[in-house]
Amino acid sequence: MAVKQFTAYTGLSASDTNIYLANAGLVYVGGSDFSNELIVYANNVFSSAYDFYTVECTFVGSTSTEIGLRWQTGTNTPDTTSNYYRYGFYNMTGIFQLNATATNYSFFGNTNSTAGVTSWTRLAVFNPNRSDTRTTWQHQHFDAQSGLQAYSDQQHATNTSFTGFRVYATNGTSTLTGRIRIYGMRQA
Amino acid sequence: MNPTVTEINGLTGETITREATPEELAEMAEIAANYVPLVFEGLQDIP
Repeated sequence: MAVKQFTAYTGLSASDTNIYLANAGLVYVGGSDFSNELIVYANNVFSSAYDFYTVECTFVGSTSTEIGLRWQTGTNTPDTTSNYYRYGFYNMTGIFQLNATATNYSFFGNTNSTAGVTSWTRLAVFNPNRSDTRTTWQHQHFDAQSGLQAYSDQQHATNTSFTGFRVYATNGTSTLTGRIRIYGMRQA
Repeated sequence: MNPTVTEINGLTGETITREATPEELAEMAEIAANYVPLVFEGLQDIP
């Protein structure tokens, strides 16, 4: 939808507010704070309404663990196939390559062991709900305790329509505390 | 009491926290069984 051009003293109707203001730019589709959770689900956040999404997530330190992401299909079924690939690098005491090894989850980030010290992850997700193309995403992560930086481009190497995702500690036992927000990019 | 999970629903806008189901615990146990820690700098893991 094109942006409406207002002129001086143009009345602002309820329709203008609902269409042009409430749904401008990034549109909030879901999110929550969470505390000591085994799994955090983002269900039904991808739809045909948007092709591109932004996911913003922070974790507050409590236990040190790696965090994984799995896309979900249909009614929140996890995709556990070894079709997740990432290409990029991470930096701590030097820059190391993240190769294109196939895994059955995506590296999402770390949470650290210092209370109050956050880590964050940002995803730009392209076409997750489309079945005619692969889902690709740009991944950024920073851990304020260790200084770990990770940057990668990732893909799921099948044409699959995803409806959401879940994040969890990859050791299978640690819990997660933080907050997550998901936005769709308005396209009409 | 089992650990809890948070579910965000993008359709309804609702968020619930509930106890993990036996199926979810089994799924996480399988993940734990296949976990290969790659300790990086003694602090963090990265695949």
